[in-house]
Amino acid sequence: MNLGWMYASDLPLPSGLKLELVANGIGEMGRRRLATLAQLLGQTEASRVADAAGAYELDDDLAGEVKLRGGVLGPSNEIRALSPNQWAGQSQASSLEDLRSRLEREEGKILGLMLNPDERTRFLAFLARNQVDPDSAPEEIVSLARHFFSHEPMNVVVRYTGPRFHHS
Amino acid sequence: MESAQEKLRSEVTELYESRPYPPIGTWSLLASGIRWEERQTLNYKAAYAAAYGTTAGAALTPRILVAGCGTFEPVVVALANPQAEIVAVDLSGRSLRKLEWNIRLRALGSRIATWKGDVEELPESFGAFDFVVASGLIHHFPDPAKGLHSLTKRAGARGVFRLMVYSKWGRSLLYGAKALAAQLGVRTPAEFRRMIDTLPADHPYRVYFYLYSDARTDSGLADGYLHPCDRPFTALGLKDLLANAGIEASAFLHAPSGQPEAANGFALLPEAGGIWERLQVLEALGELQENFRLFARSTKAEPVKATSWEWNEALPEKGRLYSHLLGKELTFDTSMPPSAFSEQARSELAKAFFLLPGGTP
Repeated sequence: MNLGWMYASDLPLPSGLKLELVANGIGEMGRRRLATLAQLLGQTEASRVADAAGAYELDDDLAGEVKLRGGVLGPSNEIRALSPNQWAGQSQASSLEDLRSRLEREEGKILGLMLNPDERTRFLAFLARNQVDPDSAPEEIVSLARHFFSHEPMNVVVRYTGPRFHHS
Repeated sequence: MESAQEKLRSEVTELYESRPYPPIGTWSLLASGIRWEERQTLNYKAAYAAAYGTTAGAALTPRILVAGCGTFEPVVVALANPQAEIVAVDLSGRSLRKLEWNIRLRALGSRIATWKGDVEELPESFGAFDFVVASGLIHHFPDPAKGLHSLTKRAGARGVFRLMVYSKWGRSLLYGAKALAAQLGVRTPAEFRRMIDTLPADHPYRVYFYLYSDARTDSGLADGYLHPCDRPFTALGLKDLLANAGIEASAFLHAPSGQPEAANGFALLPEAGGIWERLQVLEALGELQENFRLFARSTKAEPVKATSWEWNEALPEKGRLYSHLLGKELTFDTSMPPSAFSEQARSELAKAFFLLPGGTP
């Protein structure tokens, strides 16, 4: 299958393109929660409080309910996405909104996603089951991927064409 | 031409006409009964006592407005307030017909009147209310500030409020799934369930969906995930909304882990940080675990002087009851004077069951 927006992680990125690490939707929620705390407590104290709050774990009754219905939880019934001690780790990735603003300023463009073989299989199956045209625009695909992937940040492939990149 | 707000209102009406909410089964409710904790937190005297520190001066036959009442809440309000006269308002005629059936079944027709329409347009002839109940309504107004104002202006001089408002962070996984559904053009509960099934089994949207008990019915799923007008609040956003409407929180009806003072266990907030800042900390950390539920009062209302103790009439005479607010069971006996209790026991009873000083105003 030759999808214009898909870049394989085991192949070199074509010249002129760049990878941007972008938080998925779940990671973005954590970043925003941390930012909310930082507004009240300051950055250092917010990070300390989030770390000290630890993991978000369901009690046995709720965990049983989730498992009974086919859901899967982490060790100790953790919902990692909600665990405050995971939020700081999301901070190296940009938000998709920030990336879009930067691309607009610098006349760049989202071209697609870099995926490893496992991610590729799972994401294409998700698109197919939701009847999404796999030839959709890269922007739309990245928006969907942002919801689909919930663990690691996404590798978004972009091309910058603005003056900064012509002259640097 | 229809304005954006009118269009939203039409869509909301259509939602509840096609799927009345909550989808209460008459017979199942009779079998399971109604939880005591609901009665405590829907009791007028409890709200009044939380607002003024006493039940002195509270109306003997309170007039209660249940705004955006849906199919059942006024019945619980009537049971929680045996002397009250209740006006139940909803946009959806079909929801009101279900409510009226429940009212007739419990012979509450003499105490509950229904009115179909937008609460912002409730005729003046309905008069002022002692207690305004709005559970899950404010975040569904196209303009929440205007909508809340339409409620506060209906409250009498010492009117009190019981509000439930969606928490932005508490429901963030729901909103994530809702945004995905919008992008995929999902419109019906069946399509939504199919979409959830396409997510990995450990995906947080999917796990949250399984925990969201309302999603087990089409009506509940549509109310939560497919609502056309849903504007949740952060704690500080809600603080501003209430302040602009001239009301203030007098008690939060959350479990202990969601009470403002619980934030002190996580962070040392500056002295200037008040209850809302503490709630914001809890909300961001995921400790609130529910929506905002609170009693409120007008910021302009005069204080009331108390002379003696009074027990909450919504409670049985004596016994042992579980308190959602304290997260434990308490034993009490209304034949004993308050002085027979320790300071701590009085304080716990006041917090759990709104047992407070009363007397002649």
